[in-house]
Amino acid sequence: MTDNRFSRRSVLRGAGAVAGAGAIGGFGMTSAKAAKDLRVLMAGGTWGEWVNKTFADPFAKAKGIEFVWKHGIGQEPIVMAQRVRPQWDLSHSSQTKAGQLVAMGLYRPWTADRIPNIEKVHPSFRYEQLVGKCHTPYGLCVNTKRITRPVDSWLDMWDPAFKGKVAFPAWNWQGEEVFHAINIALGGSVENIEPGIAKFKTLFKDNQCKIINNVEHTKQLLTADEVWIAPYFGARTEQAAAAGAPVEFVIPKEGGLSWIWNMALVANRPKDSLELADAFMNTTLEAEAQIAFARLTGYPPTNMEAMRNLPPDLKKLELSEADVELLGKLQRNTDYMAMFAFRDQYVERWNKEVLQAA
Amino acid sequence: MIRDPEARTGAFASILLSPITVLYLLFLLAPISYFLAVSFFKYSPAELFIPGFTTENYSRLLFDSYYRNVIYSTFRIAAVVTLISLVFAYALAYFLARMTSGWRSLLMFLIVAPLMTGIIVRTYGWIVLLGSDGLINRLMMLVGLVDSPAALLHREGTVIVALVHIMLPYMVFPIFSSLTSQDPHLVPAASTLGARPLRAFLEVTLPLSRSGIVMGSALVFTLTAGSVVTPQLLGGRDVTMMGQTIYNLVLSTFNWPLGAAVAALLVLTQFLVISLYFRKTRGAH
Repeated sequence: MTDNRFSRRSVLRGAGAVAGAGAIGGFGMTSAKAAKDLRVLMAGGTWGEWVNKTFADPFAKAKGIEFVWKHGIGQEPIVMAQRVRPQWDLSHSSQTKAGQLVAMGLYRPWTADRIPNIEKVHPSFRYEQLVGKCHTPYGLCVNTKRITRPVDSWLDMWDPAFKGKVAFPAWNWQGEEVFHAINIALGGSVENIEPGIAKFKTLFKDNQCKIINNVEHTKQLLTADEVWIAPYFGARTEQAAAAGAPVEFVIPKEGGLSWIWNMALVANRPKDSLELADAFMNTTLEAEAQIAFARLTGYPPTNMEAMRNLPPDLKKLELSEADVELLGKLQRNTDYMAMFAFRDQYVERWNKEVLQAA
Repeated sequence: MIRDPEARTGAFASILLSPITVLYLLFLLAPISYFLAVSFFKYSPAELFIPGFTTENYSRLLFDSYYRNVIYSTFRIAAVVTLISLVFAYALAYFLARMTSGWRSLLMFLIVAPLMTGIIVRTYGWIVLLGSDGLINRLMMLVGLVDSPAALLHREGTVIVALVHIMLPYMVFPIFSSLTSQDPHLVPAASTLGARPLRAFLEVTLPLSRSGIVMGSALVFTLTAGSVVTPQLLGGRDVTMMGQTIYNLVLSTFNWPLGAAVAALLVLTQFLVISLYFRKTRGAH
């Protein structure tokens, strides 16, 4: 079994030691030469194209540098494996994984002195480990043909009328974050998951909840009428609705979520590369660039100045202060650094007490 | 100067084999040795692992009911898929081996064709087919077999059916190869000696195709045991196999020592299956 005796403090203390060791390992990497490229690990596909078009190409042109990309998902192990001699400057990560790698000294925290545009992002969506370039509102996707009553709460998933037609994201996809958000809504905290475990046991056992593994999988199950209600992305729900699916997006009254999509700053790289990476990340938070990105992706900007100045064709994406507050309500109370410290124990409890017991 | 022809052939063979040996050492044995070592390290959330020696990860695998179930269901599903594939593939390979017309090439192409499509696409195909609003459910409702859509997805049976579909070519070809390499006069010879067709098949054809059966079974068993995508997408919460567990532990939870222990157990089993193959087919070769 996992050693349950460690505390969050001991984890972070250990992390400090690793960060120090990493810094020593990184000394040899410091180069007097100006960085000629930015090396980036990120998922490819349309996101890769959009990031390239909106942020990377103009930045490369302005700075006279090149971008080197390695596309793929779940690339954090590469950063871990290269802890002594990191070869990449930026790594596309989620806020939870970024938290763990910051604690390990493998990613650098974001600070306003290096990346001043941080100040323009709503406080609910800027973290020490990652600051998002766009909002990805996340709440409930509801099949309005099958569910005719109003849905406004995460707890609507527990309605016995939806037995066998409710789904929840896999723990390693978005399940972990959504679980913690609902656990907080139920009165728990990242360090106390008892309310969440007890509640989810009933969702899986009594309401025959299914597991969804990714965006495409969810879409397939919604289309095949296998799922009527599930936590999902707002923009994806809108896309499905535009394609004719009878679905609508609801931000639950307890608070929705918004994923922090951006690249984490890899530590222990040469000084010039670090500065270049900071400068690039700063441009991803600029109002004008974020508006251009919103036009491509259909996701609202995180820069509140950009949000207030959305052009007429993008007004539909606008989130009011109240909307942003609602999206950040649960997220603000989520301690991502604590989440990773207990992740191994929590995934085991989830597997055994929720999934296996169902 | 090597004068002995045998020694010269040996030296030449060594030269020819050296690139592949280096490749195997660097990209197979070295990573396997690394994760074997990591499987004996202690997990630490902030450091991934702490070098040292502990059997904690293996104890967790073998004595924790959750992981024991994962191991058991992995090998059970792999065995069932192997058995079903063997039955279907043997019949198909036998039919193909006996065919003389030009249709044989087309049929063989049709067997290979699914391999040209990504596994994820094929798995989504099953969702479209078996979903509540899918073709099978619509047909069953049309003929009055069921009143409302049957729950066909997210079951172990669905995973097995999909895996058999994916693995079939890996079983068909070794068996086909062993059947076509048999002397075509053996069965007529057995008949002239009084053997009925079934007896000739059981006592001549089947034993002589043993190498293909064992090879196909070893391939299908090992590939099935390491499956990730199909059980993940079609099995839902009811099916968890070792491949998925490794993926989650290494890429999501970042518990590399435990992930390495699961991987070690899987690789060890696969080595055992392959060794069994060599042992069983030594005579056949």
